[in-house]
Amino acid sequence: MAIDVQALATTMFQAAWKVLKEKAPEAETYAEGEFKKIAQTIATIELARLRGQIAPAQASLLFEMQKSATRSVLLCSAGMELLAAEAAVNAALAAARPVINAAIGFALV
Amino acid sequence: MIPALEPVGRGRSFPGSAARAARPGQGVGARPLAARLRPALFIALVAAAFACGPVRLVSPYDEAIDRGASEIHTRIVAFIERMTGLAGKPEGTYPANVGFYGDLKASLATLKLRAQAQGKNEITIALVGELATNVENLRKLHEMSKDAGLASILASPALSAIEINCAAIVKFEVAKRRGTQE
Repeated sequence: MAIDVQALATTMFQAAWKVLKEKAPEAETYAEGEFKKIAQTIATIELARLRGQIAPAQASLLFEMQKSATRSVLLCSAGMELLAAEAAVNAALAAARPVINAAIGFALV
Repeated sequence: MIPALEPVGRGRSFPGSAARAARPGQGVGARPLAARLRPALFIALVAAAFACGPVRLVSPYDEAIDRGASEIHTRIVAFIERMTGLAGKPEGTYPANVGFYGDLKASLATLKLRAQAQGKNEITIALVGELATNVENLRKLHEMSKDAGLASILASPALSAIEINCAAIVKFEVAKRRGTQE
């Protein structure tokens, strides 16, 4: 039995897309929530600096800390997207497995 | 005559392979070696792609990282809570608490070492690096405050950033566990 390339590609894409659609939004929700926290903290630091409650050097360090927190959120989001991509690749391979086995005539994969 | 190529895997043959070999004028012996090897090569490549198990783009879940980051978070929260209570007192000054930063630095170095022990773990390594950067920033903040110690106005935004650093490590590790279970 010959492999129907179009059908196989569609099966693989649908399996992968189902995973991506379900998992990628999680990173977006997480990042949105964390960025709100960071923005609030930056506003607090700025207010404290304007009121003279903290020295410019202290404000600078606190801003650096928020920058590091921002980098962490971005790194974690990138990691979650990578995990979603990994799941999508594996779902596509799993979807292709029965098609290839059926075409070949025995359980090759 | 060179015998027709027969698959060796699982003791079963290709459908139609025998019929192709028996066709007059088109026997396998008449075909160049490369052409005869092509199907076997294709199957070997497909099998290699699938037989290696699931594709891994990120290292698997590591309980030591999950627990380590959570433990560091607990220690920092407890320390900052204590320091804000002691702000303005001799017990709350940087020289009186310098030992805490040394211990924390050692714990972070161990966490980083653990993360580096696994392949495809660059994101976790970078996340631990960000946490270490902010612990160092907290230390500097404490040190430059001199006798005032870590007042709430300084400690609160610093802790907020460190909590995000810790949460990112734990969240990513937990996401890896979910990926492994699926």
